[in-house]
Amino acid sequence: MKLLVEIKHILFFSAFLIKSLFCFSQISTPKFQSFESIVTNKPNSNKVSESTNKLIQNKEEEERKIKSTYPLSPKINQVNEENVKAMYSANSVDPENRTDALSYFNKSFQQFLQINPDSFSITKAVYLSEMPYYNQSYNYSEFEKVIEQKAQLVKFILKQEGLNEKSNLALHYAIQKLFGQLNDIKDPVHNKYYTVDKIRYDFEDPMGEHDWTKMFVTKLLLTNKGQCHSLPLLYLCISEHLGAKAYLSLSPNHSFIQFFDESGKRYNYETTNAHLVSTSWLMQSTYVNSTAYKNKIYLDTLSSRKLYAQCLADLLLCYQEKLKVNYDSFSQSLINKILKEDSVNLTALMVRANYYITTFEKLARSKGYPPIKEFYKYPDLQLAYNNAKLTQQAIAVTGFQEMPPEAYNKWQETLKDEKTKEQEKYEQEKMNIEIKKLQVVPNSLTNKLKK
Amino acid sequence: MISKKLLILILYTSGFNTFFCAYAQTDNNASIQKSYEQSYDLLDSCLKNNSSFKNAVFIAENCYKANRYSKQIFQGFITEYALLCKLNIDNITNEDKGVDSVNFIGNYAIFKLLCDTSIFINKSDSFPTLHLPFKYDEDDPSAKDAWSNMFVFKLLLTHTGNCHSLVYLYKILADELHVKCWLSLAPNHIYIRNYSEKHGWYNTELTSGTFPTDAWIMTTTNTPSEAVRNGLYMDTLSNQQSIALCVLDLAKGYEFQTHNYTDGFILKCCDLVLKYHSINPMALLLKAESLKKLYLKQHKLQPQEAAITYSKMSNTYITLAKMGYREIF
Repeated sequence: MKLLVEIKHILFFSAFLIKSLFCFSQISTPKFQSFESIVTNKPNSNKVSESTNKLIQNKEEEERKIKSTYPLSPKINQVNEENVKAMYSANSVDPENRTDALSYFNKSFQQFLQINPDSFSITKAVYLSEMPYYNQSYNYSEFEKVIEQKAQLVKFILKQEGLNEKSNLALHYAIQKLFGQLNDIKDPVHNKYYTVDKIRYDFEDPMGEHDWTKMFVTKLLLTNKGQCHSLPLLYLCISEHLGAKAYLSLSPNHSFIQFFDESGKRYNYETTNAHLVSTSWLMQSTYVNSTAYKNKIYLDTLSSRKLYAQCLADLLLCYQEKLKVNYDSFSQSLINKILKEDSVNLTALMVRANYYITTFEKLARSKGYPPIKEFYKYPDLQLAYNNAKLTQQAIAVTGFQEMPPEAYNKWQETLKDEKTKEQEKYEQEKMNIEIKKLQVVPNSLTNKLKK
Repeated sequence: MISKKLLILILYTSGFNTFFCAYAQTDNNASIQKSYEQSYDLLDSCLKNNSSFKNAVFIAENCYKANRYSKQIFQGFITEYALLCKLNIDNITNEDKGVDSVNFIGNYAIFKLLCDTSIFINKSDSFPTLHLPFKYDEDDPSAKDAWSNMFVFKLLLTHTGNCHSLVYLYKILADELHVKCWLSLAPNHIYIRNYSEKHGWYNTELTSGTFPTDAWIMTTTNTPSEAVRNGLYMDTLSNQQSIALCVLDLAKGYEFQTHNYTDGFILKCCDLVLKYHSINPMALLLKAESLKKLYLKQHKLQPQEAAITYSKMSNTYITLAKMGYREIF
């Protein structure tokens, strides 16, 4: 439960981004040890001034105090305003731009409201959830066009392999080729082969700790690199354009793709390492417990409605990040809409719980941390405490629980190796592309000579 | 005081173990059936009253041994071990008196007693007593030679047991200490699930003395993921559902002793289990298998009844398959 409290964690946890890919780290079989899961270590501020030292000491004392008083949330006081300000100081928004930004978010939300949650275009929803962060500097047709190009590539692959464009499984096979390998695509106009680089995992800041846009599909389209949030969404967008049926599926701090073949067999496709993986592997690597699995919180296909709620949740986090807001009326209305569509959306539940816990903590601090038994003397405090408890329980019921810290640390250690391995591989592949270009030249010469 | 009691325990251990071994199969069928019927009625009332798991376990085990087990000895063992658990709890300095914390430590104390060596020092004469952990019975872990190898009583007497008896003893001790824990099923296996508000869900595996993750249990026991999603496996069992497991044990004991699938006793037990735990995989399987044997007996002589049995049998198999049950290859 303590994780709910740290605001830092809120954003990441709920975005399924933090620690995102520990899939790869925790694997017992070496085969699947894959690249992803790298977390860049956040550079710690080098100098700590005396005043901050004092602050830290005070905080520790306070923390101890709260720990002894309330079983509810031991790390509450980390969410004070100084912390929040310090965290956001890197890219804060000018007050003048604030109203502009708010209007973009509002506009996006209004458009979301007009969408039918039971049948909507995921490409449009992804665009709507990301566009406000960029101040609407590009329009939908541009966004759609790039996706369309990717879909075109898939069609080329299908044609080259002689596969039927109408087969669901064949479409998935071809889309996965975009993620899994370098593709030689024949340009029908110039009758020439081009090597298309695969869609890669971005090892730089995959959790968006320094740059929130790292988790956007827009960024993925611009750089051809993404992480566990953007890659599955791109997969969905491409499959939508091709008419293939794919589903988003969630696991703690992570998302991936599920699809079915003609016989109804379920496949899990891990976009970040481009492998088809088993359910138990996903359970193990992302620490899904059987209660959450049974409740279909994780590792299940998201229905159209749930996917809609998930896109709105992305908008919510994006909004909080852009405007550096913890909780306000706009996020409140967003959360209400999300929970109306999907009553167990963890992102919304967590943001809500964190808000109530922070409120309770502030109140308790102002009253001098009275013991729980004396709460009845302060009706507002009692109410805040009840709210905090209720919202936390709503999360506990789903079966959500934090990964054990030892396991997390162990995973982090393996990340660095994976990163270097992937880099070496990347160099090799780059060289191969160049070599291929060289090979084309003598071939064309020999052709001419024969003529 | 403790050491004296332990001495008595050791005497019991050496004496009774050899004493009980010779029995079991000598009785004639009629008296066996009668005692099983009586035990069935007792367990039925246990289920209705949602009474203690300890009693239910004793009833099921005692019946197999033709009521030659002594309730006093059984109770004596349990009280003794519960006392040792309490000593374990006292040894842990815990400032937090919250319910969650007390529950967590109670579970830990039981785990420590069952899976770890403990030394208890008598305060009056500072005489140390050693308690060794329970061992996994490697001779007959799946109780193929004798059904009694599954029993908690056997575990108490010989200090060796299997997943079944260890887990039952854990649950009995937890009930004695008023500590919360749940039994949970996996294919050919049973283990403990615990919940703590601070740490969330965790599993206790007594055969190896570890706390494995759900995914580990799923892979090692070959649990199909569909079965987990449908609640067939790896779900927590209520107290009533745990008592229902004892009814199933009774049926298994009957099967072991009489090999009589067709007289309806096993089916009656399965139906009782399914009344309280409608998706108990073992009960469904035993029911389906018994119906199959019944059908094979009926299909030449009583074709009409055979047809009914057949449809019942296929329904049970279909239910199992739909819930995601798969046989391990």
